[in-house]
Amino acid sequence: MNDVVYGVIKALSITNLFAAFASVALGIIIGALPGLTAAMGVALLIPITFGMSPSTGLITLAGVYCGAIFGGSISAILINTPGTPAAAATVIEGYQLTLKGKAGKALGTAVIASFIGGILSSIPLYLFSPPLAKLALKFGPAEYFWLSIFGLTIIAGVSSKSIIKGLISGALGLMLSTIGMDPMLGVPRFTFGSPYLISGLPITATLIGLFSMSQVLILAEEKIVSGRKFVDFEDKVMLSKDEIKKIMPTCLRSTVIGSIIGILPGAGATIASFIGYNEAKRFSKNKDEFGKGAIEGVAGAEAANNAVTGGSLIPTLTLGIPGESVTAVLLGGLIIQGLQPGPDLFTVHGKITYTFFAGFIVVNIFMLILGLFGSKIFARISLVPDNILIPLIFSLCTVGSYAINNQLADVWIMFAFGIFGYFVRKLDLNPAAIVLALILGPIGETGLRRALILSHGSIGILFSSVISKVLILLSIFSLFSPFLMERMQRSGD
Amino acid sequence: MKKYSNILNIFLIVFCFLYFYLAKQLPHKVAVYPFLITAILGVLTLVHIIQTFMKKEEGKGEGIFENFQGKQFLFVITSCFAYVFVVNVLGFFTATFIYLMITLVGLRVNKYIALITTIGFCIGVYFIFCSFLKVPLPKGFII
Repeated sequence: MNDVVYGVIKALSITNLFAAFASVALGIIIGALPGLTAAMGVALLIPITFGMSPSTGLITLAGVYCGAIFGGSISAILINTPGTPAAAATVIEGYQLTLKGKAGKALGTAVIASFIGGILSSIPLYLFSPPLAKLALKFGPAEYFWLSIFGLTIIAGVSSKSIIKGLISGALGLMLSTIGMDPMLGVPRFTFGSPYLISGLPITATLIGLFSMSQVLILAEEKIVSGRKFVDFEDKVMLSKDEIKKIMPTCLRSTVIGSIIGILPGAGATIASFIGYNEAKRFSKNKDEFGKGAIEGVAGAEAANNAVTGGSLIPTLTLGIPGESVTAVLLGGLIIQGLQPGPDLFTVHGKITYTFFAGFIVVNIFMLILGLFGSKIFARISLVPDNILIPLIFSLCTVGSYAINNQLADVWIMFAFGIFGYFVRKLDLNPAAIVLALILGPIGETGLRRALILSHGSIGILFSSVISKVLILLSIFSLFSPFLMERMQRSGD
Repeated sequence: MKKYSNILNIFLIVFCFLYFYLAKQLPHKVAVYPFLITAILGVLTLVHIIQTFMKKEEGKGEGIFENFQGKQFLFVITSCFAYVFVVNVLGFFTATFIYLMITLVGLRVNKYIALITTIGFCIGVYFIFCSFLKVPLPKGFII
């Protein structure tokens, strides 16, 4: 309890409030710019957070994450282009409202629904994270091995367009994770004699390359869109009492949907927003309004995608299994701060974790304020053309990858992984699965080898405990879950 | 799309063999885990090859490089490479100034906007990384 109270007080310190405010503003800008994603923004920010205290750094990353998920709705509503994939469902009703001259109402609905979804998703974060983390105390080497397999199968299976390509991405990531010192025998592997690679691939530079520089190349290959236009609006962003009353049941329903989908590793905000939208339509008394500009539709999608943020942090912080690609990147940020997911986060590092949780609430409050009063400004920023963004993002990639270790070699690694990441994305492989394998690979390998040493080479130890059996079943289930998700998304469409 | 699946297959096969070859150089106890991953990727590659063969060819013109702007892409990647190459020689701010100006103007941004963006960006980076975070940036013979 002390840690919880401490967290609230610490989150309200001037530094953390400033970090939350600035990061939410930055996140909204990143989300509002079509072509830039939340994962890219979080990857770029990791080096900056390295110089901060762990709790401030994590609050900053959460600010960018939450801000970007909401920011995607601004361009979805005003220029008919979702800023992030998570805002794809918002376009349906949001742009129709804009055409009717009610863009302010659409933005107001989006920000209030995002706020409700985001802030209420902190409840399961507070309630479910500590007991789930305690479960990790019962994990031995075999369980850690299966946990990493489960994490990989779920993100590879669910987040990828093709299960087999997702698994291939995971396997490629596992291969890359073997670069460096052997964890048991201390022999260098695949280092080509370079002392630089002894400690493995630098995680930040790899993340920035895979998510941010690859995005630069994706933008560079497309025809530059310089004259994006949005419909200027005069109506108020603030909703009336009646309108808030009208969207409230939808927001609450979508929050539950988003939180549950967030907790399920791998599902993500895009799926949640479509299901949230579909359920808003199903339960609405004004079904005829849907497709012509229904504020409940905007609320359904936005509350659901922002509720994912809190939910997806639960498996990330407790078991080290990210809920989606952004949290996979965020996991990298956590590890760079010297924090390992699991029970220690709630005991040894309890103060940091609960400051982060309280900061998560603060972030959502700032998102509401900035959304209500700054949407017009953010909308104008979203018109920055790609030809300005391309060199600026690359320059940030360079300074970011250099900043962690002050080594130019890290910049070259970022560059190489940027090109690799470009082809990964073009060939429909999954960069999030590669990153996760890079992080989970050593945990799984150490678990497997320790378990085999303990059992004198007998593989029976891998199947002996109840937790191992459950994790094996979950891994098998996760491989088949894409079919289920596809059906859910189809019903959402 | 089938063409690109085949390219992926070739890449995976080459990667598998290369990784296997490098793993073979390692002491036996160290090589066991890499061999296991090679086997996993090998099986997955095989499944992908079978999937590719069974897949019907989709309509012509549909491809991942359909609207590819070759010259623009080459210009961006070359300037990025040159930037990383000289950043340690010229120093971060000098290299960034030159890189941003050349790339922005090359991507048809108005010269004055390019200049304002470049100066604004350099000032921003200086304040965030040098003043606030105290992170040393690459230093060359200029700044």
